[in-house]
This record gives sequence, structure tokens and C-alpha cells, in this order.
Amino acid sequence: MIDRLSLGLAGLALLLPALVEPGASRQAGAPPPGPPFDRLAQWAALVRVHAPGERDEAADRAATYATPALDTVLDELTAARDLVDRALAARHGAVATTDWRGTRVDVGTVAALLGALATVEFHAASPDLPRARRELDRATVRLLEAGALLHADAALVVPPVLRVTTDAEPDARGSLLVMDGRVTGIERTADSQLSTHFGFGSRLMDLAAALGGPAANRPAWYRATTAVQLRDEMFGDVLPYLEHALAVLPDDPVLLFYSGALHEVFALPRSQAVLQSAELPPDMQHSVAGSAEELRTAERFYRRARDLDPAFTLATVHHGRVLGLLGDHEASRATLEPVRAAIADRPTRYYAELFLGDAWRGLGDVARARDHYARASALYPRARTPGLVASALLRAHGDRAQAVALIRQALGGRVGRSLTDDPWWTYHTAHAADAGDRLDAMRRALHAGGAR
Amino acid sequence: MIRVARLLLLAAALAAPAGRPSAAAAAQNPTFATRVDAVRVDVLVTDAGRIVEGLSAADFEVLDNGVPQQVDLLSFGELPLNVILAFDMSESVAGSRLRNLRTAGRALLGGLRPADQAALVTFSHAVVLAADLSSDTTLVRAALDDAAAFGSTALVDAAYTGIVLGESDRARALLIVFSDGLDTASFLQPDFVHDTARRTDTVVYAVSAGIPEKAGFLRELARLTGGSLLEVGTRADLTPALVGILSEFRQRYLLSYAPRGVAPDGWHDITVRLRGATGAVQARPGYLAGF
Repeated sequence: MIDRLSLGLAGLALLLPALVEPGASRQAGAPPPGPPFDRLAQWAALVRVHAPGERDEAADRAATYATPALDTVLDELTAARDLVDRALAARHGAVATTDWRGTRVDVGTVAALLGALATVEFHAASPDLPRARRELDRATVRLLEAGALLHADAALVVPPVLRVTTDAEPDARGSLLVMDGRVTGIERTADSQLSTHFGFGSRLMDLAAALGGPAANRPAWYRATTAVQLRDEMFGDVLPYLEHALAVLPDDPVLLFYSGALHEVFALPRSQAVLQSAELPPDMQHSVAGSAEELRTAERFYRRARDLDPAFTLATVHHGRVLGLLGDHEASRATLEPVRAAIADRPTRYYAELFLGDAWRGLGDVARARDHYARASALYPRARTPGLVASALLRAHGDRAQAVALIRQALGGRVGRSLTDDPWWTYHTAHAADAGDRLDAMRRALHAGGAR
Repeated sequence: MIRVARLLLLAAALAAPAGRPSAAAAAQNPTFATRVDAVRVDVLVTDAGRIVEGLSAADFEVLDNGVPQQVDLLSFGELPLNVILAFDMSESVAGSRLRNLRTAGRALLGGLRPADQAALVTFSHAVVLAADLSSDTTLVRAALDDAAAFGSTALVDAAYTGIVLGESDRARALLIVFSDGLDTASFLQPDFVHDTARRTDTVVYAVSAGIPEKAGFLRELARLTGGSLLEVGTRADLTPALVGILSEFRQRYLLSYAPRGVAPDGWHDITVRLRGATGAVQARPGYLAGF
């Protein structure tokens, strides 16, 4: 992911002629008119040969589809389903023809694109319209979900393909590229490859849900794709993505948790300092509020996530942290203390101990704070953060000698390159640590749907 | 591994209003009142950009919360120094910038006197006490040569570490922080470290390479301790900057007074003025009495 973006910054211009298909640079308009359902036919062929999770030719070709081409696919797919539905109602057989936008098309050909040819043939011989419609929708859902898998892979496993945005096509959005606390560039395109294809996949999954697709698949899609974007720090892309996800799944605790995590990241000094230092073009402004406001937003999302799923431990730990940062140390303590001992996941337990230590620090109880920092240290003996914060605790209470002694104890010695020695080093993406598992689960669920 | 993070930008008309700075972090760090025996104030006096030498205690007027104080002059260049180098060793420093930093660090160490001590703190996502305070500068040189650049930037944690090390004995402490990026990895909050700076005698000089310091963590840290922030280009030769800092620090006046006629706790404004001499005075703006 990182290499891909780094390569993108340095070498996209070289990749552009080789990977962008001829129509892909026609951002402002639809593709040239072709035979009826031509774009859908091409796309459906890619969907059917694609192996989920693999970088194959289908994924490579799907990655070159720009938004207008994807709009055409969805437009044709919807029209094809409506056409077949009308044909079922009229009891047309597969060999019948019908008019579509001034052109005669075979019902059977269109039904085949959707994987519903057998349904049309069976219905013509043995009419049962409700059943036929259910089978048409099942076939369409299978295609939609398999299509979503294809575009997930176009986003994830195919190197970036730069789409051309001309001066004549001003964008209302862009992204600030940040590396190691330095702004390395400003991307004035509406969407990255990842957000384009995740966005299209979402439209497919929304349509699949409307057609009666398996209820669990849409949450699985949104959870996995959001987690990937959070894990890979695609914060500019994930914000509008999550807003849409919550519009369609407003009571999903995982998506609410991810929204809280995103705003917690926005509140961190790592985001605030960069945004305050960024030299933005005069017509652009970042979308992140100040630290306190972002923390309050995060707190609301975490609270709702926990209300919906009281056993959601990770949300509880993050909630406790944010309450502490907001200065409500008693609420932080009361949130963290009941769950701490039962947390089985070691990094999450480590965070709980650190944040509970902070809560007691805020409440002025040095002994309890030190105890929790020590527990964190016991979980990760090579971690440096517990010693550092214990030093800060003692320094704040005037014990300079112990403060420096702890620094010497905690920060001496070499440090390896592994980020696993101290989970604090990955806290800003810890909420999405299970992104890979969620992605695998989503692929399995949607792929199983394709086999139905 | 360094990630490229993408933060959303919007056309100005669509953007959310800017938020207010957090008061929460400040509330997280309670202060405790105690009696202050002596206050040390490290003072730089310049006239038209040149350092003014030869002043005595009688040339200084010091007000603590507006109350004149009886001042002693402890030192002008005589006291040994504790010099703590806190150097950014994150990914973005790798390559020529690291070589430049090593060269500058060695040059600075070459300017130390036998009684001086030096320490090296390096920071990426991890803060490392690479060489503890010692008058044997070969240890610091070796640690500097050994340091590798990788990872992100725990600038705030490193600044705290440097301040605390500077307080480990009563020598004059100079903390020089070099960074070419903004903080991306610290656990401690900037407000906490600024609060610690209000309670310390350590003077912080910061060198920021290629980053507009609008965010102000280092600028505020330097201001609170009476030091300076030097903003240099990303490819600037760092040797003049670091050697210049040491030279300037040696030529500062170390004043001391036992506070009289003021409250024993809370924030104390310090005003340092010259009597019968001309020049600009640079000193810390005050101190938090107590720890």
C-alpha cells in the first residue's frame, strides 16, 4: 500500500499511457455509444473470470475503469434487470426481442448477461412470475456481489492508475499527502483509485441489498473496506466513505466505531500539527476541526457504538482514552476499569492499562497510575512508552530524580525496527488491525454468494 | 515503515470551521504549589545583533510578577554545561541529511570544554537515550555514528526526555532539538511538555529544517525556556547552526534570585531589563513555582 502510493507520487506519469484504457481519460462525458449493453457485457465478462483476491487480467482491466465508465456499467445493469423483469411479466421467451433505447435486443442475450437465462427459459415454459422475479433478483445479486469483489481487488491489488483531471474539470475535493510529518503533495483529484473502486463496489452492494441480497453481506463489505482504508491511513478517502456507509447502515456498531476512530486520529497531534502547518492552495481548506471538537465527535461515535454493542471491548478502550483526553478522567476510569482485566487481546489490554494509568494520573492518584503503567510494561517488557509516561507522572509531581531515573531505565539501549515491541507505535491504526481478517471474511461471504 | 497518510481537503466553502485548541490536555496535568528557594534565569543580551559582554549583576533589573528582586550573577561563560542533543532520526532524515546532522553534531561536540557534559537522545517513533550525560564525548560521537534513521517522529516525547535529562544535575543545561518534521508518534501531549518547560531551567534551542513551524510546538518550547528556534532549509548545512547555538549559549548570563514579596505558587512573570546599558534581552518569560 505504501509503496504503491510512493510509486504513485514519483512515477504515475510513466504508467499513465500504458495502463489507462482509451476511454478512461474521457472524464467529463460518457463513453462513446456502442452496441446495446456493450459496456455491461465487457464488465460482466471480467467479473466472471476474476479470481477473488488475485491480481489477474480482469482486476487490471477493471482498475482502468473511470467513473463515467462505471456509471455506464451500473446504468446498463439496472436497465438490463428492468428489461428482463418486463420480459418475464410479458412472458417473453429467451428468443424474443424487445426495444431498448431505439434498438432491438434479444431478451435471452440480456438475461445471460445477468446470469438469468435459465430463469427466462424456465418461466416461458412454466410461468410463475413471483418465483421468476426472485430468481432474477438472486442472479443479479450474485453478479453485483461478484462485481463488488472485482472492484475491491481493482482497488487493493492493482497498482495505481492515474486518471486525468483537467483544468476544465475543477474538483471540489482533494487529498493532502503526508509522510513522516511532512506534507509531500496535494492531490487535486476527486477520488483515488481506491475510493473510486470501493465507491463503485458500494453502489453495487447497495443495489444488491435493495434486491434482497443476504443481509450480512453489505455490513461485511462496508466494514472490510473501511477497515482497509483506516489501516492504510487513507483518511481523506475514508471520511466521505464512512458518511455514506453510516447513511445506509446507521446502527452498525463497527462502522460507528470506525467513525470514532477516524475522528480520534484527526484529533491527535500528528494530524493537527500537520494540518496547521500545511501550505494549502487558496481555494482549498482541510476538513478537520480542532482537536477538542474532533475528540467530542469521536466520543459521540464511540458512545453510540457501545450502546449498540456493550461487549465491544476495543470501542470501550478507545472511548476511555478519548474521555481522558477530553479531561473527564473519572468517566475514563469508570469506562476502562470494568473491562480491563477481561481483555484477552494483548495489545488492547496494553492500551487499557496505559489509558487507565492516564485516568488515575488525571485524578491525581500517583500510586494507581504507576501501577497501571507497570502492568502495561509487564505486558510488553520492551515497550518504552510505559516508562516514559511514568517518568512524566513523577516529573509532574516534582520528583525530578525518579523522573530522570525512569527515563534512563526505559529509554536506554538499542531499539529494533519492529513496531510490535510497543503497541503505542501503532495505536493510530490499531482500530483497524483486523482489516485483513475482515477483508478475508468479506471475500468468503461474497464469493459464497456467487456460488449460490 | 512510513505510511503516506491522505487527509481530506475540501474546497474552502465546504470546509468545517476551525476548532478551538484543546483545554483538556492542560487539565490532565495538575500543578502543585511549593516554595521556591532560588530562581535561575538564563539571559542573552544583544545589541544590533551582537552579543553584549561584560555586564555585571548591577546591570540587570529583574521583576518577579512586577516585584523587583535582588539579583546575583552566577556565570557568564564560566559554568560547565550539560548539552543534550535531541536529534530526529526518522525516515525522512535518512541519507544526506543524516550525514549532515552527524557532521554538525561532531563539530558541536568539538566545541565542548573538558568540564562540559553531553548526551544524545535520538527519536523516531521510539525515543532512545543513545548516550547518557558524560564528559567523555567519544561516547556521544559513537552513538551519533551508530544512529540509523527510520520510522516516524516522536518529537514531543523526545523534547520531554531532553528537558528531564537537563535537570539531572545543577549544571547549566542546554537542550538542542533538531527535527525535519512534525510530531507523528508521541504519547505525551504538547501541552504537558510545555508545562514541564515552564518549570525547568533547561534552555531549549530548536532547529527545524524545512518545516514551517506554524504549529508552534518547538517555537513555544524555545520561547518558554528563553531559547530560540532556528528555521533552516532542508538542505542547509547544519554545522553553523549547531556550533552557533553553543557559542551563543556560552555567552549568556546566568542570573539567580531568591523570590521575595511574591506568592509562593502559580505562574510568575519574569521581566529582565538592563540598567544603564543598551541592548535587547532574551530570557524565559516566567516560571511555574513548584515542581
